[in-house]
Amino acid sequence: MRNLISKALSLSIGTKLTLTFIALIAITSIPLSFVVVQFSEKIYYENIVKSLKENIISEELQLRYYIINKDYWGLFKFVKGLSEKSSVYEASVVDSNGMVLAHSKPQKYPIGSPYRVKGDIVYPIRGLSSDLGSVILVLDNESIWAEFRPVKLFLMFSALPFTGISLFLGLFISYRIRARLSRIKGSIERINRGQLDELSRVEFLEKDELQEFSDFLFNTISTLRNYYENIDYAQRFYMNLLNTINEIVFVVDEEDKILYTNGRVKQLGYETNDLIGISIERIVETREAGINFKGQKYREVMVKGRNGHTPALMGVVSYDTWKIVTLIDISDRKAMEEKLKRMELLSTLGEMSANFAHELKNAMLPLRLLSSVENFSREDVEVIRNSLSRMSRLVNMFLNFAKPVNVEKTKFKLSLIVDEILFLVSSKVRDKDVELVKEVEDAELITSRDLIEIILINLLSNAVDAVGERGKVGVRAYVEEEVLNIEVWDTGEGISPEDMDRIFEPFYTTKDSGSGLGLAVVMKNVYMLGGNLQVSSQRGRGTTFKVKIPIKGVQDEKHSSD
Amino acid sequence: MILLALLLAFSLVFSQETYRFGFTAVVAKEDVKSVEKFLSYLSKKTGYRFVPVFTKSYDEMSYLLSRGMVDFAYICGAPYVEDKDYAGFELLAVPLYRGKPLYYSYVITRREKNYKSILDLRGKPYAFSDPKSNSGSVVPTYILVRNGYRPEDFFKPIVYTYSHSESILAVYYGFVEGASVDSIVFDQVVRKSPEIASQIKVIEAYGPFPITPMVVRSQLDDDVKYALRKVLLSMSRDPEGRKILSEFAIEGFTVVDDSFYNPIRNMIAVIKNSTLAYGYEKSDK
Repeated sequence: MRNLISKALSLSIGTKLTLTFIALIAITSIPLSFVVVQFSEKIYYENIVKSLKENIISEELQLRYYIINKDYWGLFKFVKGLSEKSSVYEASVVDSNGMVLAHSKPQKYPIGSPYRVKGDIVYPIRGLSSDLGSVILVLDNESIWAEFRPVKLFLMFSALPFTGISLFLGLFISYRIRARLSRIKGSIERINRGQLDELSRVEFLEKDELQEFSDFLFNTISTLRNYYENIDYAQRFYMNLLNTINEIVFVVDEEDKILYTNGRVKQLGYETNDLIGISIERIVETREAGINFKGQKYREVMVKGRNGHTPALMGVVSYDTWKIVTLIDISDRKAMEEKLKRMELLSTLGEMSANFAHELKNAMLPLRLLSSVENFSREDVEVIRNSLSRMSRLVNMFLNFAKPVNVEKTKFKLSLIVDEILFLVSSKVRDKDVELVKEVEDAELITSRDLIEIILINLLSNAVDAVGERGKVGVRAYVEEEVLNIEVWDTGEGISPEDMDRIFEPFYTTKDSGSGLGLAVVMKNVYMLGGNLQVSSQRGRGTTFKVKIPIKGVQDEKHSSD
Repeated sequence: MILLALLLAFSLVFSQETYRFGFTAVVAKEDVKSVEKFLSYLSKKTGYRFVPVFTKSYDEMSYLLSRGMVDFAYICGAPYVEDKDYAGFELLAVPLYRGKPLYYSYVITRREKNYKSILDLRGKPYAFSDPKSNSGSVVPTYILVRNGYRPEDFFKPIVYTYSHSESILAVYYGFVEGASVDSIVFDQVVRKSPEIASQIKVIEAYGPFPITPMVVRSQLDDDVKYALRKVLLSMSRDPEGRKILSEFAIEGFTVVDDSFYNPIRNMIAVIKNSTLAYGYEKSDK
């Protein structure tokens, strides 16, 4: 039984509907037909009875007269007439004792014979005080029903067209619902197969719940499709973005296993699929604590590629259960750095050589003048001594610059190195008749003298180059709150906004004979000293470079000098 | 009665001399057409207008005659004998049946029955026509009385049909086992309804008796009596008349004396003098 129910419940909706319709029709039409037929039969029968009774009633007066006068023939003609009716099997008039006065079948029931048949209709004929007798009719049920049969058949089968129509309607509605459901199903199946583009609204003639359901499905799937497309697009977008950038990007799990990597791993000779699932530490060599070292955001590491080791800058960003590891190939930068160092040296050397030669020539000038004097006076000797001393100092200075850059911190006087640098550019200053404004605090510093010197020489050299004849160049240096401030300004043409963005690029220059390294070196040295650099420039008014370098151990000893 | 009233109304409208002609159980009432033909023939021949009047019983007809509501009537020998003095009518003419003014009282049963005589029908329902009919009542009563039976006891019961033709039907339907009927009416039925007659047989014929007469109200003008009698007597010589006569199963008319009906007077006297006759019995009714 349970099986049957579950079987019935799992039939298709169409079949269920059809069966329900048939059941409904059967439930309604069969009892209805039955009731109608029963009811009609009853009415028909009652009508016959009624009509027969009316017949009797209309003759009642005459019948009473016949009975009283024993007019058997009159009674006989009456019962004979009644029995002629097809609905009457036999008719009789009996007296009050139940004896036949007249019977439609006189041979069977002659006058005076007892009549014990219980009639279907018994109509008493009343006299003044008592019944004179009764009319007794026995109905011919067979004949009545035979007459009623066509009506009955008609009634029974009159339900048939309606049943037929109902069945047809039922089947039609079932078929429609079934067809509509399979259309919805079909459209979902297409989507299931991945043909998202074929998604289209299923429209029915019937604007009912099924249409609403279909629209709801359509809207939901459309939304999902758009969502999916957005995600897909975003995924491709970010994927492309990730593949476009220069960094190698990894996503690793808590155990540092690689979950994802962008296309840049090809630089290392790997394919993305080679790396998924392996630990990132197998390709990244760190000096300490693996990749999870919390000290610095970026660290220099060595990356093991298929074709050897590559220096790289590693960044790690941690999230709950995963980390993003970026690697920037810095092998080019390393090479550049080396090159820059050399260039910087050469540049400095070149500048120094020119100045050195010039100064040396100037220092030698008194000696040359004195070479034609035979007897040197004390003053002459003093001049020679000063010249030689100056020459000796020049040589020492040159020697100092020839040394490789030394980042070791030493103790020195600020004014002293400013003077030395000014001396180095003094020939240029004189040539152009530039007015030099110097404001230097006579503080003693402990920092990298070489780097400061390189900063100063480049900035001052640039400033002098920037101004025209009789322009002004200024240098200001002071210590404030453990910060060394160096300001170099000029009254030159200023820097154009386009150039402003590029002035720190190595080898970028607007000068005919510049190396393009000056400001790059300045920038690098400021960076190495942990300081910062600001440039402000106004077209036609001049340019100011402000350098701030944190220092320690500034001595209170302060002298002002020119 | 309604018909009568209608006819009276008609007679007022048409000032033509109109006479009412009464018909009784002597003719089959169903044969109104024959009556019409007969009367229109009489009208044509006499110039008078005749309208028919039908009554159920001879008593009614005698009464109508006595009151002058009917001028002529075709009645039976027995009512003629019994009522002529009180009602005031006289013989006009008598029909000829098989060439004579005589007829018979038949005892009939259904064909399949085995009765040989009216005496075999003891205890059976039996049809009389009018209680005053000669052939349908007086003759069988006379026969039974002569045989020592009281008719009311002999038959169970006597069914009065007031019409010879209905007595034949009563036999035909089996409602009665037998009936006494006028031989002239029986012949008419044989001629007109052979399917009924074929189911019926005549087991006894009593007679001959003086035939059913046409009577006329004594007070009626002699010219009219004479004119009508003349037409009736000459009918058999006229083809048209003959044709109409044949529908009544008679051949013509003749004239007889009142004494011609003495046989019926004698029978009635016998019945009335018998203690067995109806009207004298003390029980049953």
